[in-house]
Amino acid sequence: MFKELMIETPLAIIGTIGFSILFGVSPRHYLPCGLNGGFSWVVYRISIALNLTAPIATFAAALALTTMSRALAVHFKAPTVIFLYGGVFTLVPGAGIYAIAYNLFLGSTLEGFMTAADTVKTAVAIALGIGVSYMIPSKVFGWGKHYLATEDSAKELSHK
Amino acid sequence: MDKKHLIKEKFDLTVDVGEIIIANGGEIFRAHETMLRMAKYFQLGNFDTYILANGIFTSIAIDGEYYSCQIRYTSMGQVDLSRVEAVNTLSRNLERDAFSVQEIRNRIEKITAQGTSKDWLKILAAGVSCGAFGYLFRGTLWDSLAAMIAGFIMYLVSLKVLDRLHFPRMMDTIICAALSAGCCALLFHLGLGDDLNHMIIGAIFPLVPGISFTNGVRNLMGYEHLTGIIRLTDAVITATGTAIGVGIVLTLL
Repeated sequence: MFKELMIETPLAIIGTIGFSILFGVSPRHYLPCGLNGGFSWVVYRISIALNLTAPIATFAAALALTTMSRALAVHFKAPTVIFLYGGVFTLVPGAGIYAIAYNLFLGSTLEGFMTAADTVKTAVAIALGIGVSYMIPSKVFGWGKHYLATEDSAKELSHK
Repeated sequence: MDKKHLIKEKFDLTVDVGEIIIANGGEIFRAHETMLRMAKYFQLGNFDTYILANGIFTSIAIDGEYYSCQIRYTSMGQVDLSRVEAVNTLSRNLERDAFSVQEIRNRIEKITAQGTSKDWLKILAAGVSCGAFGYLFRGTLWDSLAAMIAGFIMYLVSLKVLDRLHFPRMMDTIICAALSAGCCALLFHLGLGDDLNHMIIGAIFPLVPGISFTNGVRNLMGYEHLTGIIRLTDAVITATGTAIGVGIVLTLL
């Protein structure tokens, strides 16, 4: 597995940087974005190697990715989404969308719906991973020390 | 500038800032927070705003008695995160820098004028990403090379041709997906690549609605149900379009 990871991780990093460029991230964030995507891929592969099912592995990777994005956001004093958007492409069910198309057009409709259900599972796993990560209190990441505000402070501002 | 125009300009600036953030892929709460910060700095009275994925509704009180409101439609277009970051930083430093209204206007114009990534860089990045993800999703090196070439062509056509034709978004997606799959099929026919399936998976990666999906989920978790549904619907439509585009080519083969 380590041999595979040695090739795959750099590719995940490159792919994530590629998407970061497409989304107009400023060049100083390219490397952290890429490393974040690579990190999420490593978590995914290790989870799979531990015999976890694909949705659970995706959940773990999404959780790790989002948590790391939040930490990076604090460190670089930049919006979290900058680090999240590129990295999430290591997890999104691109292959699933293809499989749906393939099965619905060439295979059986039943199989098409089964692959669609699998794709939805992956999507829900990513959603939960992101959601759970956002439940970690902001203080854990040291928001208080920085000038960056959070959702809570937005509410505070609006009540003034 | 007399007082009336000054207030109007301040109001416009505040809404512009929110628009830049949501049109370029920022979160709703960030747009909200940034607009509130601007309004506070400009001392706009009774400022309140409701923001959706594709629209902003704002109202302020002028001289404490007349209400003025602005409704802004924003299209969900090209994502440019550096703009979100720049506007965000600008609003945070307002108190410290004490900019005048004109200065803020100039800065915002500068932010919207800049595109962070050049077109050729984007095309290069799209192709390389296609190759990289093609390999990650079980392709061979040859498959990912073919996916890379298809990705270059697809993104080039998308940026240089489709962006000028203004087709409906769904048609853009279908055409791009069909083009990627078509290029892969052609390359496969010419002898490049081992497995057509893996080539196409790599080549359609830039079309996968990762941002709408991630953002939509974030919105739903953050009690922004309407925006979440708008974005998830967008994601489903894009994914369907991709599947249709690929499916058409596969059927024709």
